[in-house]
Amino acid sequence: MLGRQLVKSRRLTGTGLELIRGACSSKPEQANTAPSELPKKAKQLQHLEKFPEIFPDFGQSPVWNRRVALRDELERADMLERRMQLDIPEFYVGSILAVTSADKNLASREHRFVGICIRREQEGLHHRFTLRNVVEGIGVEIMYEMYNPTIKKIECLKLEKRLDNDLSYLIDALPEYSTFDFNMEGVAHPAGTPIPVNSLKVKMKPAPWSSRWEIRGCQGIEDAWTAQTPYFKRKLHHTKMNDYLQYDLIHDYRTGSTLEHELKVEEDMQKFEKSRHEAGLTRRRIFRSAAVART
Amino acid sequence: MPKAGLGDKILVAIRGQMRKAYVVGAHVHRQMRQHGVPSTDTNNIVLLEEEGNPLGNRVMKPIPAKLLEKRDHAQFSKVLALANKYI
Repeated sequence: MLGRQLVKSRRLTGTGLELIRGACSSKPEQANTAPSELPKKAKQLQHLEKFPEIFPDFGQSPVWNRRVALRDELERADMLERRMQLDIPEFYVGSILAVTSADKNLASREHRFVGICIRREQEGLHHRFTLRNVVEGIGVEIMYEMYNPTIKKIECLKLEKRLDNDLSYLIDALPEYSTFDFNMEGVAHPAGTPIPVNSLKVKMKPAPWSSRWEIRGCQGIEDAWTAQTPYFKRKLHHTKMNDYLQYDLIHDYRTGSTLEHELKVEEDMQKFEKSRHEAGLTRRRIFRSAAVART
Repeated sequence: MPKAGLGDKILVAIRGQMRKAYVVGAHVHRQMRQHGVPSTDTNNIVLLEEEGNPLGNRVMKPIPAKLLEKRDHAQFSKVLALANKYI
């Protein structure tokens, strides 16, 4: 196959550079130089600046080959239907939530758990979050799938962010940082105000830990390096070269969220909301942000 | 290799003796977690004596509510009878 390609390009005369250019199909002189229509669409849809942070479940998989357009669209349709039945509040990693789920074994047929959200994973219908709490000295973490139909209620008792997007280190931190009262009352977040960032730095239990938190770049740990045992510092050197990733635009495009996708999802959300409101089925709003004043 | 999870009966060596026990709290790797099933920081057990009855009189600490699915089990229901708090 390679041989045939070489023969084909050998028909073109000239230097090797011309051969390469002749074999390439991009024609920059014919490129579309019209300005992008996205900013205009963003204004029309009242695009939320921090859409990927508010709705991480409506994003696309960070793995390029796992992005399947049809499957994602069908999943998003189901997600919107579910959001019309259950009010899923806006929350972040670091917010304190109370989840009430159906449990056939308990007398009250309900199981309520209060905890701090330590991580949010996966996109689409499989989106899950983990709540952590220390109950009578026992640290407990429960993973909830956000769109699981056995969830009856999700309440955000305290809406706030932390310095990290992943608070898994709380398992090795002192238990006081993971203890939250089950009967705590919700703190209402005034609409239109920015989400508060709790810049708390937790103190760790003495090493050994379950993971090497000191090299993971966790901003919310107070001096992890000093607290770690010397064994893990003995031959520490960079083996993986990933400093360039912050400049890598292609990597950004392939793993992150693009404005085009965000606008498409926002448009779908608003159309769905509008159709349900006009049908008189419900007044529930899906497309909203706690940091943006409701107009 | 056979593994024990939440609600399984295991044989433990404790204080120089071999005893049977039920697992009432398991620390589960984050990839193996199931929706709604709690993962405790420590692995917790309730010791049993020779006839299979719980060794103690009370279970002081909370245990996962998922264990209530086993309330029809003859031996395990005795452990559940001692528990008073479910998480």
